Amino acid sequence: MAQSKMLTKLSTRTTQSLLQVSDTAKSNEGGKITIRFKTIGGSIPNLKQPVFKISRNSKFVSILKFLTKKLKLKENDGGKIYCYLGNSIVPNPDDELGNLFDLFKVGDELNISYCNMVAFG
Amino acid sequence: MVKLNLDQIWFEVDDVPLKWNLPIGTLYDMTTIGIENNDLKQRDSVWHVVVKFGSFGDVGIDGGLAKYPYDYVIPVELNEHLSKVLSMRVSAESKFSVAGGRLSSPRSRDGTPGSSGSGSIRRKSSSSGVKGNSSRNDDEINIEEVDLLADDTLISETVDSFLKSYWMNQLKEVCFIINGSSNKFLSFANLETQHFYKSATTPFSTTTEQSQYLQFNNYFKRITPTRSSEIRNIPIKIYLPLLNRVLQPSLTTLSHISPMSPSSSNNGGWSQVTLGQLLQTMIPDLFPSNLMCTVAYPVSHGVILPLGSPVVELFSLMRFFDGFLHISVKMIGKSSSGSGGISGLSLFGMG
Repeated sequence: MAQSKMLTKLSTRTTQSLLQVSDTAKSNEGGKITIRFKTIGGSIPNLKQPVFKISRNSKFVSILKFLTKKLKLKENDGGKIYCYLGNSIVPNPDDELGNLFDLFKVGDELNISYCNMVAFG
Repeated sequence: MVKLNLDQIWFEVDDVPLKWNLPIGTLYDMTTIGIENNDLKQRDSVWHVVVKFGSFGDVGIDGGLAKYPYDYVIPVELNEHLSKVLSMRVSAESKFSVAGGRLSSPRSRDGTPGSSGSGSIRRKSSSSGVKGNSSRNDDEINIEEVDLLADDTLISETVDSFLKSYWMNQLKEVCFIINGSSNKFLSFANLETQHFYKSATTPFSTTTEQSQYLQFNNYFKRITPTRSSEIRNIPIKIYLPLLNRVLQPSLTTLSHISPMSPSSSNNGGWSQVTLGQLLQTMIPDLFPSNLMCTVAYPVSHGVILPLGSPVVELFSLMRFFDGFLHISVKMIGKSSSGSGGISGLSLFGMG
């Protein structure tokens, strides 16, 4: 669907190679990355298991959903979750975890700190 | 009256939602076709963008059928910023009245014109009885009562606050990628950040262009190391066609790809890495050669980028207002030769 109009104007050969690329891109980077969760302040509980593995292709929004579920937060009682990388950066929900991992990993883990209020303006 | 939710509006081109957080030029490059061979005539002279209204709970303007493409476009979360702007106004107002006209809080009013108490705010502060202190709870209750559309300055201040916080996050990220920590950006004074933001976002006009560009660059220099050997990495986003995919190369891990410059020993040799080498390493299927575009070509700012130029130089010349170098990869197509044989494309949807 995305950029579908562009595609109809490409030659068959080009389309073939593009599809091939997307295939290899999917399989090559289908690997997993390690994520370590940390809390900021004492107002939100720690996870029982702080280390998780997740696919490189996932978007950051899945982390937010995951935490909301794990911590049993409810949207309507103000239970928002704020996540930070390197204690300062708020990733965009559509950032790919593989990219974030490559850029912000510490050792071989991506550290994500979380809080139930804005911790770093 | 139809209630229009500001966070339920988005834009589409050819049924593809546009990400509001990307520079508009990058979106244009991504969604239009045919600038290879510099044949500008092939390009549509008009870019058709559709404005969409979604609905969330309420019935939307178009009957509530459309849904905000949450999977694809970052949600616009205005509520938090609305309460921020409101609490700033309330505290400015109440301090003003308590202090008997003494301008005690110039910072909190942020010098915005026309914030001398519009109708909706007066109603709000009197209905909730907020005088002197504006606790969080008061703000949160009052959001419902505020009629956003009745107050133009309130809309623009809220949206501006939201956009500024997005921009600051991008700059923090850029600063971290370049230096390995965001401290250089975080150490700016409040007022400096404000100026930096203004210099990055105020629309250019011929009279202000030069000075604004210089101002932006001066601020940007302060978050970049003076010597290029101290640069850890370069913030680049490469957009692939077809998939909703972005590549953000980490140049330090690609240091081995620079066989062309054995003499340059600074920062692991990657300061001489050309765009062609980078693209060949990352997406070899689209860039089989690092000297010639055969299958696809890179575009930024509407210009086809030369594969032979060092990535570091491209970044310093062509970075966008959010500090990133945005490059879209476009396929070389023979526009006449084939529209068949592409069934099953919907497999690679937006996800």
